[in-house]
Amino acid sequence: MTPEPTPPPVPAAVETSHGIEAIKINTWFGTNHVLKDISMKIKPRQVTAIIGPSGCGKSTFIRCLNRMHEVVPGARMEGQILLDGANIFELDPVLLRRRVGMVFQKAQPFPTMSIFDNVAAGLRLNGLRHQGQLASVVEESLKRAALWEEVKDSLDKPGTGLSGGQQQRLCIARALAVSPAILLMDEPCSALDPIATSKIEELIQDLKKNYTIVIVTHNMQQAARVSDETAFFLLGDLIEFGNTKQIFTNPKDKRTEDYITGRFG
Amino acid sequence: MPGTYKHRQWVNIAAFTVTGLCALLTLSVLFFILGYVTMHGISSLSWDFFTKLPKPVGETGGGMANAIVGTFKLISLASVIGLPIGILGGIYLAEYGKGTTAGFLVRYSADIINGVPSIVMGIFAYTVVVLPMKHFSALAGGIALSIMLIPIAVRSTEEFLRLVPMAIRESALALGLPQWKVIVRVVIPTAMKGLLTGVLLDVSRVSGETAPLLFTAFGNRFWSSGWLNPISSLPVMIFTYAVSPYEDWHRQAWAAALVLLMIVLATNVGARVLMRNQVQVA
Repeated sequence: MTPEPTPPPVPAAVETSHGIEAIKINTWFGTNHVLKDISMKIKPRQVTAIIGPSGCGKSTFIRCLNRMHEVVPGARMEGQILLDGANIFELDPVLLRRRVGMVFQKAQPFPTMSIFDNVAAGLRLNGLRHQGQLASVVEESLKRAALWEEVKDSLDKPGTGLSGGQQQRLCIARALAVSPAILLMDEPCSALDPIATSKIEELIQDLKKNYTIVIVTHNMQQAARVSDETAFFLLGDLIEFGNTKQIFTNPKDKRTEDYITGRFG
Repeated sequence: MPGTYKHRQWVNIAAFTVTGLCALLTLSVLFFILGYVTMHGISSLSWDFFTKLPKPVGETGGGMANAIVGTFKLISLASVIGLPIGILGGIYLAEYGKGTTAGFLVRYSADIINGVPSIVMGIFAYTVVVLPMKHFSALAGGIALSIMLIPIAVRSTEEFLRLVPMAIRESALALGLPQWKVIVRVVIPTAMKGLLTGVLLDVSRVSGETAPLLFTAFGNRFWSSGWLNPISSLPVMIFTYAVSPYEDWHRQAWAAALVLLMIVLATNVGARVLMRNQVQVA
């Protein structure tokens, strides 16, 4: 069993939010070479967007950052990923994932759990029993995910009963409750309507004060709206990475320009 | 003329008729069996049937209380031995053995054992339990049934766990939960009703087995005197009574068949009711 560190009583604003650096990442599914020599440095406490056509390896890349890639049978990777200078492949993946949280494309509340239990799941299942502490973490996380006002009177209702946008914010609250330093978001709005999407985008702006955020998106306007830096992936290669404004107004690479102007992809 | 509207309409009608008739035929077999057994069995059912022991050969009357209790005892023993192994094996297949050679081998062997005729299971239990102990016993019968139960339970557990979307496991793993906790606290509760349904169906499938019991539990015209002695069971009683030359025994065999059918049916219906309340996922 892995050692169980005592979680902090409240996810106090993470003062030392960390960056993460990928060095020459290569990944395979079976014999299919998905990512080729990806190196990029993700800066702390800002939003980094990853864009590119379907199948270019965006999701695979962020799944490497919390070692979810290796959960898939037949998946393999090489290279180094440094979190505060430590290679994450030398860390226990379970402990790593408490520092690098993830929000998935499809909101997936645990179906047997209430709203409260969903948010508390990460801490409770890791051994935190103190009801008062749990309650304050749940409230704090739901507030950060901008969901508290909507659910504070129905915390014991099933999480699956919420609307799609609320479910996604519930999943964000659930991820925040274990106080990660980095939040990975894999197309978090692709299943949501524009109103829910704008709520999540506002939330991202708010969260970046405390967290390092990496967001994969198909929606280029979204990347332009929410991110500070943007990376463009194409067929497993990192084509261009830089300031979002520059990428969208003055791309250096012809392929980036073609993609963002809608000439392909 | 192929391709014309008339032709397509005709093909559609023909396909609908053939598939519909076959579906009807399948259904009518079930209702025929239910009706036929009920017709013959109901008249021989009496309070005595449930409370009395079989009468000595030649005397009419008596019941099958010992066989009814025996059947439940054998099923319980088979469940106690077979279900834990089967369920844990199924959890291994669904959660750890996916895409691995070991998983493939386990799944493949389970499917092969599922296809082995049940009388072969009886011979196996006879060889490994009855021969060394030198006599028939309830224990041997329970073991024979549990050997049949294990691969069925492995596969049903695996199937129901697989209904839990991968995304739920990933969400839990991404919270920094160790895999065993994800399985115990998230995946299994999500699949719980399905798993229970599976278990009930598995048990009801082996509860009517006769062949594995013939030369393991053997049979007993009295109350069984313990797990290490022969025990009576409904399927074996049906077999023995049905092939006997006595009119009264034939009637009792029908009654026993009806009771056995009702036990299996009740378990199945119970399982369906449970399944109706399964947590909806995906």
